[in-house]
Amino acid sequence: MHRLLAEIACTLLLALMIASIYARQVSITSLMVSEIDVSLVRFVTRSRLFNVVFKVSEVWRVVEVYEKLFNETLSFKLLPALNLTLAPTPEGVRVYVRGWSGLVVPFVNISVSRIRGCELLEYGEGVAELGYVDLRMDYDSSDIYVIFACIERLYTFSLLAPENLVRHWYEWEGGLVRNESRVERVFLLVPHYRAPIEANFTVVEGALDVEEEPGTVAYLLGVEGGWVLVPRLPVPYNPPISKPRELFKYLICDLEGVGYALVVEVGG
Amino acid sequence: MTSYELVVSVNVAVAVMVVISTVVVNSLITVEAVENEKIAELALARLEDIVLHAAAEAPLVVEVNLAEVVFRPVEVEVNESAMAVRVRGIFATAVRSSKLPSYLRFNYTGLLPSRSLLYFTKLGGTVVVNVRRGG
Repeated sequence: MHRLLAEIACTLLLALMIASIYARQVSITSLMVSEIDVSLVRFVTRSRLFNVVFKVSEVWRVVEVYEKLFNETLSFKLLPALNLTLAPTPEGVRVYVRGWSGLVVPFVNISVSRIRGCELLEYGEGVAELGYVDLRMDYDSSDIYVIFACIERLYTFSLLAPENLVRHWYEWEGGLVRNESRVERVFLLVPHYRAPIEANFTVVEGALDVEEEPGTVAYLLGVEGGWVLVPRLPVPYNPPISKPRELFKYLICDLEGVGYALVVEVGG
Repeated sequence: MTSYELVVSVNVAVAVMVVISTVVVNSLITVEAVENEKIAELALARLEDIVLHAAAEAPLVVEVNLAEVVFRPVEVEVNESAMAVRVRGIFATAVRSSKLPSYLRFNYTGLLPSRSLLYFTKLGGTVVVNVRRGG
């Protein structure tokens, strides 16, 4: 009798223990199986991507936050608001205008400046009614093309330049151009203007402090042996890492009162 | 059953029980550690979200109730430039911390009260957060 009671008690105790362990397991299983990915939220808050209007330094800070903290967990692209591409045709060049989803954006005012050195070689403008516009100008892959797109108050731009002319010398923290060669002249690229504008500059601790015009997107520096292009904005920023898109947002980069629309795409 | 057989069978039973209990306890510790880490990660991200959003809107007063931030009791420790979340369990404790952006600093060091008022004020280019115990 005692033996039977002891066996029943042991069995009950064992069953109770197993049940309590299962109860605890069940209470935390939902968290175990669920994936908590907070990278995107943290990236948005850290980079202040919840804002809409950004200064130049704030745009660069977004890129810096991405590169320092999230370049392994997220993908990140910073692009012009519209996909502007240029293709040579027998009569000149054709500028294609698309949204980043591939859709045609109708009735976009387009202007293209073809620049060699600091001189404007050609200028063309037109309206891309159904996704493209043909302009009568020559195409040379060694020249700089500034494509400017405008719909009402939305302005965006794309700079096409050969890789060997581009220098990433802009220091966003101080707003200076840290030149590695002696600079003789500085011109500004403002998409609202047809031609580059010459600018005054002073040398501050070995770097150039340029007097920018509102809307300056890049500098043309006359250095020994030619001209180089120094972009002021990290656009396009398109690292090779690719992940499913989780955030797609338009933002305005305010350059001394002139706002350019850009697009941020973050994948996670 | 001889006494020798009895001793052997009891020893085998004890050994099996010890092995099973070890496996169960280990799995419980692991599961709890993972759970706590996830909760800490979640709580830290949510708190960062609150603090950085509020900093962007400064001057502002925000009432924070930790019980509404995450469903498990957590300890939040802040100092001038960092924030850490600690989740204590029976077997395992998890800590997640992050450095605050340079434009934001807490004028407070120690554990954040479970209900607190955060006063965000702008001083030059910096946002300073003062902490008061909430009602």
